[in-house]
Amino acid sequence: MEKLKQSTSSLRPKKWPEHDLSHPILELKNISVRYNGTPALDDVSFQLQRGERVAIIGPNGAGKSTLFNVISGMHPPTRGEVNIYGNTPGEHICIAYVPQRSQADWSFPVNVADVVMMGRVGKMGLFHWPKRSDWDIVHDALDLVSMDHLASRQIGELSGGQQQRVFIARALAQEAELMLMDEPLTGLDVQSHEAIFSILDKLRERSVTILVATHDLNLAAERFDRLMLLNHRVLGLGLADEVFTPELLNQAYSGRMRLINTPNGTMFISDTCCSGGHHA
Amino acid sequence: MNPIQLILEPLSYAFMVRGLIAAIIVGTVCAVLGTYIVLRGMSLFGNALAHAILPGVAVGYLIGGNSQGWLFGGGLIAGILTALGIGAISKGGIKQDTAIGVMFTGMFALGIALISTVRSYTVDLTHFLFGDVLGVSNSDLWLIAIFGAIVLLTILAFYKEFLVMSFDPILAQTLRLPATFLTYLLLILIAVTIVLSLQTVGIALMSAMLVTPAASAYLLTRRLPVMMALAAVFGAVSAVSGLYLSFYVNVASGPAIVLSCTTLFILSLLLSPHKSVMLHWTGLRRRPVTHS
Repeated sequence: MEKLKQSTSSLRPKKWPEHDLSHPILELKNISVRYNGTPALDDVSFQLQRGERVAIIGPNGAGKSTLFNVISGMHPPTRGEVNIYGNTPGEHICIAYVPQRSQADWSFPVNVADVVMMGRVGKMGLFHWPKRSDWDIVHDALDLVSMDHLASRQIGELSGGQQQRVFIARALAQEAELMLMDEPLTGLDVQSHEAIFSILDKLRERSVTILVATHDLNLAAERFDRLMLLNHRVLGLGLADEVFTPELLNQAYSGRMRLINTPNGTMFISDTCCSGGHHA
Repeated sequence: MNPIQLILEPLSYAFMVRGLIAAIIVGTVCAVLGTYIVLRGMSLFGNALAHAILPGVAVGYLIGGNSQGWLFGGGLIAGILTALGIGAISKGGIKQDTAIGVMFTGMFALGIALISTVRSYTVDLTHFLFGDVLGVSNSDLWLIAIFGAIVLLTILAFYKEFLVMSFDPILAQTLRLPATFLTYLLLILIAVTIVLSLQTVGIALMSAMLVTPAASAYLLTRRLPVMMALAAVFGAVSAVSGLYLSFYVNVASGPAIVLSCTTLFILSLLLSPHKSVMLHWTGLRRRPVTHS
């Protein structure tokens, strides 16, 4: 078996680095990113452990997308270091970016299975076609998100929740160990939220590390291991009561929010809720 | 004349047989490549590139007269340089639409100016602009067949990579696909296809061969491999019906082929189960991404 593994690994077109589990899955050291002089990220440092589920909260323009670009290796930082299990991101394909639904081309003539199979393209190598094992992985991924029965559906005919689950299945088919999710819950009803979170629980069982950008503070506080408050800098990283303090929230949202004291607790009202820059 | 005779009569002329084979190859290759052009919103680019090869063709014409080898070579060099140039500009942040518009009209004018220095240029210019498929010789046919095969084989080889790049460029990056290489490869394939279609439909009508059969196919199916196959069939059928039309009705062959494509498009529109596509194309429904 070992000999077989050795010989087939030399046939594989690329050698991806072994995952050194003694390192944290993700580590950022003093990351700064400037676009044409304006600082998008300023001295960002943190570590993520394998299997964690962390939410990133911040207003629009806080640098959440830039952070995802730097972590996935798509945009080099102006300064600082990103380590995935101790290596640079560019050598890994175990990082999956789960896009916002609004960013996808839903009129493209592909069905659910086609989209999920795209996640395998990196592993398949040039000039190779999908093998039996690739199809097994695709169906396993669809099964985990409860979409296997919709494998032949054209993607434009899916509901919002289903579309989101297809992208998660694609990230799974990629055999990603780190998933970056860009506002997966926006525009979904409560039932769909529950479906997504039960999938995230299953992912945790597989030791997949998840980083989610979201605007929903309540959900973030209730459902995530740690929270990161981001506004070009990391204003706080930890549990909800450490991070969701009036001072830190004020810093994050730069006054574009109101804290109202009610008998039941503090109500937080922000006027920069959703992507697209529309004010509520 | 009975139908069998109608079909067989043109085939008794060698120039018609060669023309038919050339047109079928061109129709098929343009349609398959055209699938990417339609899906990636590159119709303007395709049309512009077709016009931009004229100076290369003109230089080939000035050197070698009507010898296809020179025309082909000249057009190919101009086409590849322009394709790579536009590819490079798109990364530079200049407004792409404007840059393309300026570039291709200038190059087109340069081509016509160069050709007009020859005394009896008008007939040849007409052939470059509108095609001269009945003038295809045996060696021309070999050129078209070989390059056509190269284009189709390349698309087959890189099918899944082109698919990922077209559907989700960000995924292409996270999978560490050689995105720049693949983008330029696609642009070069388009340049090669345009040059091999020059003799069949000519520069002015070329973009129709790239866009229309694929657009018709898009109206009828939601699966990419089916769309490509259907587009190829439409391209080939249009080529044949266009040539037969030009034989019997005495109209120019290039335009006849394109009109056949357009007719098939109208039929597809009427039969389409996906009427919402028209809303999408007229811009009434916003398209999230356009890229080249």
